[in-house]
Amino acid sequence: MFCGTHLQTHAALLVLALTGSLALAAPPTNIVQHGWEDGTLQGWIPRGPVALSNSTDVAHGGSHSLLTTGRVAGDNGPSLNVLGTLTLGATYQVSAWVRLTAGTPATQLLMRVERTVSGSPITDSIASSSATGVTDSGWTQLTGLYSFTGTNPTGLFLYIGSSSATASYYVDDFSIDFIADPAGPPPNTTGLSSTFESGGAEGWLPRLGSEVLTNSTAAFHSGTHSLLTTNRTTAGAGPALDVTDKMFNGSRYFVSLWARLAPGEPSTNLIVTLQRTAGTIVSTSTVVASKAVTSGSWVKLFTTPIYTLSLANTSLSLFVQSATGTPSFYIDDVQVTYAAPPSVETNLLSVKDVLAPYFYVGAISYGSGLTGPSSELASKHFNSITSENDMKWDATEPSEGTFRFTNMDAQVAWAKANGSVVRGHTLVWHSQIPAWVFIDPNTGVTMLPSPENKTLLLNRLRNHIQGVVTHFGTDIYTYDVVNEAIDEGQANCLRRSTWYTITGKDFIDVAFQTARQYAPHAKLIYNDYSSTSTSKRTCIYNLVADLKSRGIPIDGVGHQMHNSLTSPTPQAILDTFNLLAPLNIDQQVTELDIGVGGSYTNYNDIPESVLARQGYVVRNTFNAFRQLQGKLSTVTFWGRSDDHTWLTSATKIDAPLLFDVYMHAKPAYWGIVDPTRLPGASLTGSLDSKSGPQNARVWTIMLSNPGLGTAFGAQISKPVLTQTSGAACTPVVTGTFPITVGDIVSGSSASRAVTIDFTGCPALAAFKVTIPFSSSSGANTGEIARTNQFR
Amino acid sequence: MQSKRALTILLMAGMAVAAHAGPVFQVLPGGTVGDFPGTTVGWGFTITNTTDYLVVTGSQFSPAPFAFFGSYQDLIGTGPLIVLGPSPEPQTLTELFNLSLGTGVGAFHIAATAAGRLDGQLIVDYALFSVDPNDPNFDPDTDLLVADAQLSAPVSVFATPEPASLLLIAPGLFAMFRLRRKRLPVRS
Repeated sequence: MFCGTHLQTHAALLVLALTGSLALAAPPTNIVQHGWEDGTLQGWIPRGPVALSNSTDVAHGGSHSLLTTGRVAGDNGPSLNVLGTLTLGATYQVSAWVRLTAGTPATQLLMRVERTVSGSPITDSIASSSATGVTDSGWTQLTGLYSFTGTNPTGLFLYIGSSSATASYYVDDFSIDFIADPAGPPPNTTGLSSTFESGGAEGWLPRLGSEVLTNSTAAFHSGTHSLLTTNRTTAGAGPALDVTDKMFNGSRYFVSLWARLAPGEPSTNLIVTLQRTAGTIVSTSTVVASKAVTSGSWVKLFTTPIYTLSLANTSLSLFVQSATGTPSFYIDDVQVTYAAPPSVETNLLSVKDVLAPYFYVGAISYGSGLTGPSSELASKHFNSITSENDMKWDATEPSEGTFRFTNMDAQVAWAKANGSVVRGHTLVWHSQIPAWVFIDPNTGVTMLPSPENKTLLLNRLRNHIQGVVTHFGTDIYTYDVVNEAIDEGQANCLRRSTWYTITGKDFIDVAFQTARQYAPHAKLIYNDYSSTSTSKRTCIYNLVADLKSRGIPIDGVGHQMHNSLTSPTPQAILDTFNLLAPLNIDQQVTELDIGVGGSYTNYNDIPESVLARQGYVVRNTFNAFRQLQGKLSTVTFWGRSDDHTWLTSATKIDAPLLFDVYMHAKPAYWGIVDPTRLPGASLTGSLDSKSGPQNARVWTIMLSNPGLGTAFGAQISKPVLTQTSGAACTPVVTGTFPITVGDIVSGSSASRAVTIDFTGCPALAAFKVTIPFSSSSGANTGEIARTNQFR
Repeated sequence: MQSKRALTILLMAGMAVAAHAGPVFQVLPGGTVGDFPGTTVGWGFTITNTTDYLVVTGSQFSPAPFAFFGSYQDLIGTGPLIVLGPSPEPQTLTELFNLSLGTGVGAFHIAATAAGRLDGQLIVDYALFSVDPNDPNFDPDTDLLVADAQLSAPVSVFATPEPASLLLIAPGLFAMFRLRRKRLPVRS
């Protein structure tokens, strides 16, 4: 909604001085400048019962300033109507010099805007001093960036208040400078590339000035050149490139480069950073997170998978720095590629509608809720949400008895507004739990097993669950009460977590009992991963059976299903659900994703063939899910689109969801909604011809792809002949199988010959023949099945 | 008058061409079938072939149905050998679908978990020979004209709601009707 900062002048100037070696920023446009030299109030009005006067007591510039006295509340102060002066979405730098009247104790001053939207006031913060940053002995500058979005306000009053309700103060040299228009389509989408093959620095400059940048042929990632940076004096020193005309606020980019330390330098983490200058304010934003680089080999630093530039600016520079130390390093093959903004395809069938006869379809939510295209995508295709992290213990009760639900409340509100149900994830887990939970108050360190600690820990557990589920009432229809408590490697199947060490299995009982006590309406779930493995599912079965036999209130099992392209098989899924079904419980798929694996470092490098294969795996998986109608109540994807997934990391990029980074449907989407649109889905086989002598009869098998997309990696398996008439004989199929046919593009076909020895078979011997074929690494299968086949 | 006669000749010529163009396949009684989940439906056929000898080699539902919706069973290719063509073979064969007798093109078992509708093609596979396979002089090596060809027709399978579901819907509809009846006097 707004952005603000409170850089002090000195800090800002210091940073500007540090950036002296870069191209100077374009000067911002001043739109308001008040120095009160004309003796008037220059349009400023009182906010609250205060007195404003033009004063010549002190001045920052000239001989006049604005004096505020008679304040009785923190938000009292001088105010300026800026409605019509400031534009929705634009960014401004707002500055004022402030000083307390003589004798007033040092305090904090704050510069804010009260924005009235739909009749309700909203307070935006622009800048503030430190707690005692403003004194009566000198001038202090308040400065920050300001922009507002959403609905155009009906009231917009900037004011300067104080954390002291009664402090009196002077204001001088107030200014508003226009920084940038609202983010819009970029002026160009060319991106940039630096390979250093030109022999020069290709526009790269020392960020701080002392660095030495040298085009080098001593090491290179590709070609014969790279850029070497030496003489770095701080971690923030490094090569920098002005990208003001290449990267634009509101746009998204794939950024990558290769880096390698100079010989002899110890392993160091490097970071790719953007430096934003907006007026006199300078800040930095990490583009590629810290990643270890050595002198032994080139390491690719890349965005994961995409960087959204949200920095209104007057200039931008991209630079490479180290996390610590000052090693010299090479960079090469720098690429900045524009990525189109996400857009929801409104003409698609909704996934939730297609699957409505079977189960709810969920996605994750995170942060302060769903907005923009993310909200559109979630609302269109999903009717259930699960918070990725905001309901975990470290988020909801970071310190004992202090509950925090800001993000969850926003997500629940979104769900209510969009007709979605909410799953609660999770109440008890051994991970993402604050340290205080396991601290022994007597020792101040992690608990050791004792009756007292067991009682204490179980009480903390009860209090936590009560606090969480009571807050949400009936807004959450199901809870993952206990998460990942099983370790199939243990004789009793229970993970040796601190929970187990201190309480045995009692924490499981208490968690379910407490959840039932305070959320009697909710379905209570035990949730775990790898549930389709034989050993894990046996453990889950035994755990649930034990809980039910002892009257512990458990309603179901959650199968996380972080799947790959090869596992689990649809049959393993069916077997798992059918094994647990006799326990008379609900079953849910809670965290589904189907990772493509590999070691991709650029989203766009993931081959079409891999995405096609993923589409077939999704198709086959949902074929199994649909067969579980009545046993499976919800399927939740652990994400929405590939721009946000836990499977993407600093070492590899994955694409495990139905929608790509542009929020467009992938083959995985079609695998659910209309599998006939999968690449190569129409692949069919036929017997093209038969020829040759009886002892080496050649059957030509043709695979045809009349449908959409390429059938990737088509193969023909060994024909099986079953005699149905005539004197008995044994035909022998010769050759090596499967026969690789390869990619068959849409509208084409390919043939392969198979030789069969029919020696001993009479002319009228007839056979049933079955010839399996496949594409997409066996995920798409078919067969030529024919009866009444003569040799 | 003259142009009318010319048109008639053209139409007859067209029919003649069509008659010799190849085998003709018709689904009986129609392409759209449906029933409750858990039941089996199917299709009968009429196939006509006037030139050469058509040997039926099977049938398929394309695209192959997913298990959650159902499964297709070939009947026409697994029964007695069907040869259609010049004398002494029949040129036309008609069979109605009968699961217990195993007649018709094929059977479609609608899975218990099926919902909605599945569209596809019902395909009859055949081979074409220049000599009747039932002729003592038949030689499959030399008399084969076409190893593998297909006749097809568009079909649809509907999974209609379970009777139990209908029983649930009926009281709901009745309740809505009652509600509406009760409101009518208020509105008047």
